[in-house]
Amino acid sequence: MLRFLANRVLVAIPTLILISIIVFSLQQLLPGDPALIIGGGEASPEVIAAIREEYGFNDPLVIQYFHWIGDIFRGDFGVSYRTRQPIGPMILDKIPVTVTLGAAAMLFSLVIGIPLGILAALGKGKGWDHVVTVFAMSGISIPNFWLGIMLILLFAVKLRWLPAGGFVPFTEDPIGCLRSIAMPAVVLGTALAAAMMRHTRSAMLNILQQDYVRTARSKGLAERVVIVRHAFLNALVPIITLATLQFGTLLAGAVLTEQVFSIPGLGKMVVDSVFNREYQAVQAVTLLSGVAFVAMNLLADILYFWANPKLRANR
Amino acid sequence: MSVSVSSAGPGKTRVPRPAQSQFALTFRRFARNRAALAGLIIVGLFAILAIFAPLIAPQDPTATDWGAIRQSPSLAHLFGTDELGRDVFSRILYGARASLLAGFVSVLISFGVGVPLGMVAGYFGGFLDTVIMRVVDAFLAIPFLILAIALAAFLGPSLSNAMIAIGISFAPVFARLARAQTMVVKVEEYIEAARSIGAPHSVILSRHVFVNILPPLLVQTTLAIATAIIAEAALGFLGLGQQPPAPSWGSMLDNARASLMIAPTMAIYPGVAIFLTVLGFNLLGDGLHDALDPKD
Repeated sequence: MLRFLANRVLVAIPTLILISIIVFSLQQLLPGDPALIIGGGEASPEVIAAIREEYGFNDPLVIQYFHWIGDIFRGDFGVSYRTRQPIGPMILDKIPVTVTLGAAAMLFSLVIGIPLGILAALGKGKGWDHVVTVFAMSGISIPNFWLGIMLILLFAVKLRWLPAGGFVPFTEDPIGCLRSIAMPAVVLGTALAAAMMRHTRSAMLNILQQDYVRTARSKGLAERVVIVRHAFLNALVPIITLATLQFGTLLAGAVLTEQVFSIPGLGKMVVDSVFNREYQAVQAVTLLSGVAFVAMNLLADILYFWANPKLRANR
Repeated sequence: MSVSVSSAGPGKTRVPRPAQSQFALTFRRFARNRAALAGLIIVGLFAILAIFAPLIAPQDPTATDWGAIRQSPSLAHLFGTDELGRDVFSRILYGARASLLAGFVSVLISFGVGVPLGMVAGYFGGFLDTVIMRVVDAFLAIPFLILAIALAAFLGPSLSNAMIAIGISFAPVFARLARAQTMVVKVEEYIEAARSIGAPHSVILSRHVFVNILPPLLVQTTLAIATAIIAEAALGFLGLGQQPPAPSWGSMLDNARASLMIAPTMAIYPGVAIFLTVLGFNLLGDGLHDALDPKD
């Protein structure tokens, strides 16, 4: 297990370095002088020169990269141009909000996606299968920000059951948190539930054809036991992997969901930073999302290893 | 469905029907798939609306009318008017242009960047493959939309920059697929035959490999257009796409959100338009996949 893990970590290192280079290079796309953008239109040449010096824009690019990545390793993501607040703690504040939203969306997608996927596989080509197929196709095609607006229209404006936006931390008011997170979780989790359905359906169909399922049936086991113990538990391995790999989709979807529901998470921070020209904050969140994705991949590998007895036996 | 091959007259010996070409087989399988045909019709309809928008649109999509702001649907304004009194129906028609253009152009960029890289990596293998695929993996690790937002932010908000941002963010997906398919094709006998008669790598790649990996790439292209249309709408919704006053479905939704309490109908039409277009491309892509690869 340790050797397996060490191998995976080693493979991830070049990817992480390349991600950091890509994110650093974004800055080079800025049209014009970044010092002018930071200083604003009216800054005098002296001020601009001072900014160039302070931010190290005069250094060669390679040196700038090493300064930047060195600072990040020390937990220093830079300072907001506008508020002069450090960006690192700002991000730390936002993480629990986005994680709460993401976890709720993941839960929604598992609770909806897995049972419907199983139902579709068991009744292949029949009524349920068609319903699930249509639902899955719609879930993939619907823009989640529009779904959010429609849900606000129904549940907040017309029926007045749920708040139209905002976020209440779970530690402050659990009920309020659930109310504030219900619609955003459904919005963020819908596409994921659709993907989960399709995936569960095909994993189950594949496994129901296996010899051991036929054996289990032929020795007279109840159908329920065959489906749950023999088929579903084995289908769970690819499903877990998919759930972990959907992390990136979840994070990207959170940008729009948080915007629609005015939830103060990482996604809203990215959008606000774009419009406040806080490019360092945009870079920081982009970098973190890439690193987190690599970490989730690692987790998926470990889960896969742990859930698959064949792999465990070969270690 | 009956297919008459030849009207062989009496006295003539009937020639056995020639084996159907791969194309005809694929076409027949596609034509039998009702969902795929529905997708084709939806996409075709929106394409016609986009192309003929100037002829169909009852009004100038940017013409404001302060005497008719946020009106409900009526005969004068089929889908009502927005917060500046502009005709929503006309804006939806012109918005189809921005959406479809963004879908096609960004996928063209992804295809143009990703496929050659993937083919070179898969064909030559070795160190070149390692380097290209490491970079591709790094790009794939950054969530698609976050990368697109970051790129669009740094390039500056506009429709063309949004297309570049989406195109670059999606290119790694094409590179991966092209590489995998190239590795399958390059061991085929006809490639070996081409090599043995001294065809240069460039000719083998463009004439033999590319043509043979095209079907799966075509499926991916159709599905990628669906993703790109949602992404363009998302960037427009965030203010990073088409800039006002030019209409785009994403920015129309952003405006509608601000007027949700006063004019709820404004939010319905752009969303339905995005949903249907994306659904059309997804159905089409799934249908193509099933027609080209009936094994699955």
